[in-house]
Amino acid sequence: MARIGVFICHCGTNIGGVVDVARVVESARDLPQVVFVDDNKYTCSEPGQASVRDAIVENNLDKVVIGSCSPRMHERTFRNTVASAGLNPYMLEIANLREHCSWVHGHDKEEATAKAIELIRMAVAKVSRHEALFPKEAGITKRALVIGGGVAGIQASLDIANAGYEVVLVEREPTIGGRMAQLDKTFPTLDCSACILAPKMVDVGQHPNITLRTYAEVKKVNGFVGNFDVEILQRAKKVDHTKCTGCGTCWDKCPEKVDSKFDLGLGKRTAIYIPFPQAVPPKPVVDTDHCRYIKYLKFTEEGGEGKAPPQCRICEKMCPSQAIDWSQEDEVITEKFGAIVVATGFKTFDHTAYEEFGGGRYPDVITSLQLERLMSAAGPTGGEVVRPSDGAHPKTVVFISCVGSRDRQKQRSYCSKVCCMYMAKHAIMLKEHDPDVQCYIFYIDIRAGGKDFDEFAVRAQEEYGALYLRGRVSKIYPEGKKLIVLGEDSLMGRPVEIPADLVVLATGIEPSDGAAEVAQTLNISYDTHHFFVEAHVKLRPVETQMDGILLAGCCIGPRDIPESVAQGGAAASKVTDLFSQESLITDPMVAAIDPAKCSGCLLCVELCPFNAIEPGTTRDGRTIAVVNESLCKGCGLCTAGCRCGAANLRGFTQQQLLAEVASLWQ
Amino acid sequence: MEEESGQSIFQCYQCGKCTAGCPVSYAMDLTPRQIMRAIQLGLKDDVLSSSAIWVCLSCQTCSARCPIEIDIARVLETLRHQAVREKVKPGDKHIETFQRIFLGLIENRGRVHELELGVRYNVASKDPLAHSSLAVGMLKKGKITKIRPGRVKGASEIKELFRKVRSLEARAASQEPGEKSD
Amino acid sequence: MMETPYSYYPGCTQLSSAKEYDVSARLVCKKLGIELRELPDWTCCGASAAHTLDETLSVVVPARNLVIAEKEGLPLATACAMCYSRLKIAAHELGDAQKLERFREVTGKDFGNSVEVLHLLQILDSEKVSYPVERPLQNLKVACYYGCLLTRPRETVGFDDEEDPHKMDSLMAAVGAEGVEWAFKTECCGASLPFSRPDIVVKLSHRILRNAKQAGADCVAVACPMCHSNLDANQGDMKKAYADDFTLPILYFTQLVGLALGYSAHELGLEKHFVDPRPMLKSKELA
Repeated sequence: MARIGVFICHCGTNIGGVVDVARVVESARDLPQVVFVDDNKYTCSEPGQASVRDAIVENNLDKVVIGSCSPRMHERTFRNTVASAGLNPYMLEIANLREHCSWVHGHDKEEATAKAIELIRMAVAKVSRHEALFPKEAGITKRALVIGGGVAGIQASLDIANAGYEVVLVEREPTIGGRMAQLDKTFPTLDCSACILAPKMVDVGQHPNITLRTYAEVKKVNGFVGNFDVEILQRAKKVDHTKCTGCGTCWDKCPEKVDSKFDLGLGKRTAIYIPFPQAVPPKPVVDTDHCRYIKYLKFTEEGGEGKAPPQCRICEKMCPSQAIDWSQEDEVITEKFGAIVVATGFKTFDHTAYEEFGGGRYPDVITSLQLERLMSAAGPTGGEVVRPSDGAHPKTVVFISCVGSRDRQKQRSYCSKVCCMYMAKHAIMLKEHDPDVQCYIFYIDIRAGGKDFDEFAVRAQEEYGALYLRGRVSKIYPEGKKLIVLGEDSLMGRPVEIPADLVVLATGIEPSDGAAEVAQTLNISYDTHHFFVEAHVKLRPVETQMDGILLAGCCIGPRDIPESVAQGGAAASKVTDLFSQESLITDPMVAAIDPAKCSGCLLCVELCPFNAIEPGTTRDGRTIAVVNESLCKGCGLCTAGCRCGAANLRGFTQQQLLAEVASLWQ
Repeated sequence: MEEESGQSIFQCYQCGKCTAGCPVSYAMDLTPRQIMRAIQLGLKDDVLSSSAIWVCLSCQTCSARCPIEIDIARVLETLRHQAVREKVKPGDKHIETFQRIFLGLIENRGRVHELELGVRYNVASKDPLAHSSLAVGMLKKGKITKIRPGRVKGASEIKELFRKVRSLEARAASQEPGEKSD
Repeated sequence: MMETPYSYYPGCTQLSSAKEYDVSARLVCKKLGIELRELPDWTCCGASAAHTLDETLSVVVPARNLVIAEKEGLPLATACAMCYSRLKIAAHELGDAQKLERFREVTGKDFGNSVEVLHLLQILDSEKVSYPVERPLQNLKVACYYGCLLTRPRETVGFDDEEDPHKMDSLMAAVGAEGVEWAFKTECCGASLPFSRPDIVVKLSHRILRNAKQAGADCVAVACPMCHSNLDANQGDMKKAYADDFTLPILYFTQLVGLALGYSAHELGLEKHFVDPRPMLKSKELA
């Protein structure tokens, strides 16, 4: 027989102004196993809590019901109150007499009071079946994994490393730097992008707490917050980076030329290469798809017909440090981490989908990122903005906004946020490169919401003579050496035809290739566009639904550099929060499976959305299901689905819930 | 108009791609984008009396390129039908005359004979010798093979179809006096 | 290669101003063993007139022919792009059960809307048909002009890409010619406006021909009598209105294929065009 105490809170007039608290108190006295009933003006206050505590002690209560506001407000408070009186904090049930009662039935006090009486009855029935619950402790591996070496990932790595923890930064490309490394200048300050990024990149490369794994990918993730087991695929670089000094002889001498991905097809690189001069690590990798020696090896291995291709191996012969190592193979490395930051970044929309713009067939129709490469002094043309077709300097440049954005037809209804600003930047930069150039910008709206952003866009027009035309472009076609652009100035309501030398398309932002696979590996949510989903769009912008996995940067959605940097820092702080704890306290209100009842059908394993249930064996070799309490979020799906009644959710057991329901008929 | 044309006119954010790609927008008093805006603002008279809805070639370039996937050509066509129904003075007299004569020939002959079409149009537009060089050229090259228009067996069936459709429409119009909803 | 025979819908212009299209199409099909049976008692498809003025007539007028075609039980082939468009759109509209019911009421016919409407370009698709070429059209650069009706609206009539279609180009390649890359493949020529607004037709057609010429074309291939007429008959007016001086022969694609299959220029009606293609063809030893 329990000794239940019931405490009804007036909550000022929030509850008391609608519900007749005195009647609720009276009716509670008659409930089974209730030995003490009291009411209070503000139970959550110091005196309020004290009175509850005293009542528990004086009346030897072992279970408590509090009729008050929503548990979302004060569950933790009242659990502490109950605990301070010497009881297990889970011997408490809260009946929501405010959000579920007085606040929604304020117009009918009779109904509200009747409902409050029933809510208390249900709570008493439930709490009578409560058992003591004890949170468990789990250890935390205080090492962080950062996936993605763009500016967001770089910032996160540095912040976590500076806080004194080990970080492994995994990046798919041979260098870190991401998209920001490809930019020439950044708006609105027109800082040189590489100049502001390179110091951070070097810091990452040299930081004692950061292990940089480039040319690597995360393949598998198991485990839970504080205890992730991760398999990383380190691709073979064919270069021993411990010996390599980055002298550059090999890529100087390599005879094989390949289209440079970094320069977006506008320039070439060699088969052994670093993507750009300030790469970190500044040491090359061998592109085994294009290396002549690798081709030769494949040929001899597969016993090809005809003449064998040349062996080459020039890099090996020329390397002063004997750093070329053909014996390197792809390696799988397994490591443990306590937290993971995902910063996989973005790529740009493939504009060849717009056939009306040439479908990629016109070399002088380029993307904005390609223009950045042309403008960059380290780019394929040494900073000369020239037409890809004939190398001439363009005098008339037309910019087109929203290519692959705000376009339902191309399944990209969203706005990519940064394009209006970078088009203004491009107009300014082009005028600086060549005072004779005239820029035309076709826009629909100008989105310039950040600090000094609007002034920047206005400057492009006032000081740099960019002509903004409001309207979309319908078609581009070549005529002689020019590209005829057919658009409309909707403000004058007239069609516009411009013979351009160069057309730059502001292509939209979308998640990097393979984003969906990364999300599935980590078991985090992603939307129709493959952007990763935050735990709460407004209040938890860098967290996911999976504890211990954080997000930063454009993998979440289109955003600007300062936002990505801020989010890198925010994600880092969540990680250091976690790591500053000694151990993880796990919520005891999780599922438990009774091995005696479990039939081993493993339906719950399928049902669990958090992969928290695994098959296990009893000592006598029978298959059963076992809950990983650290992963379990207490959603109850297994409990609902279990056919044998073996699964039960602690704190919301089937017996407790049925008692609540049954109490309504008493 | 949204209902009749089946298009979400209010989702148009006036980007202008339709007008930019329309081969005849230069010859319109209201461009396709402006027509969409005018509908949004309820400017019925402006729209129904415009030349735009007549000059439109129904080439569908606008509909094919609209980022909101609005079938703008269909909207203009629906407007034109409404203008015809409500007997609004056509924004382009020549085009309307031509099409009306053409339709009349289909109704009465079943198949259209081009010389007859040309002659009737010239008479109706009070310019009997227009395109005469073209006509002479075509005759010379034997492109117009029969001077006298012939009759087709299906002609009477076609005439009957026209009559039926017209009477059904007249009945529908009399049942709903006043304007149909836009 | 024997295929099923097709019901053939010529369209009004095939009897007169586009006679050479009809003739060349029939000759080509004969050589390829494709049987075309003229649809009995066919009437006008409604062209631009019906859909310009009346919604119901725009469906009823062409659909009358679909009823006949359904009785014949064969797929319906047509050469004119406008006829193809109206017939196909009518069939599409009658896919709506309510509209089909009304149609049955109005016509008094029990129509199942089961006719497959095809354009000659689909039937003569070089991927499906092999061409016994006798006279490959070597060194002939052709600007394949599809016009605005064959590829739009995509969901209803489209059998090729809207902005850069290739079926005709592939066909030209199959007979030894070269389809040039150019930007005005599907831009409208001015359609039904030559009588009422010849100014528009001259401007639009001129734009098309200018781009074809700049792309290096020797001639333009078309698949529609309206396009042919607009592009062919106005080149004199174009010279008057615009400074550039060029003439470009306009040929039906079936005429080009016919030449490749061994027919003579006279058989294919090449002398009927306003811009005589024979000098150009003779200079390439193709006619």
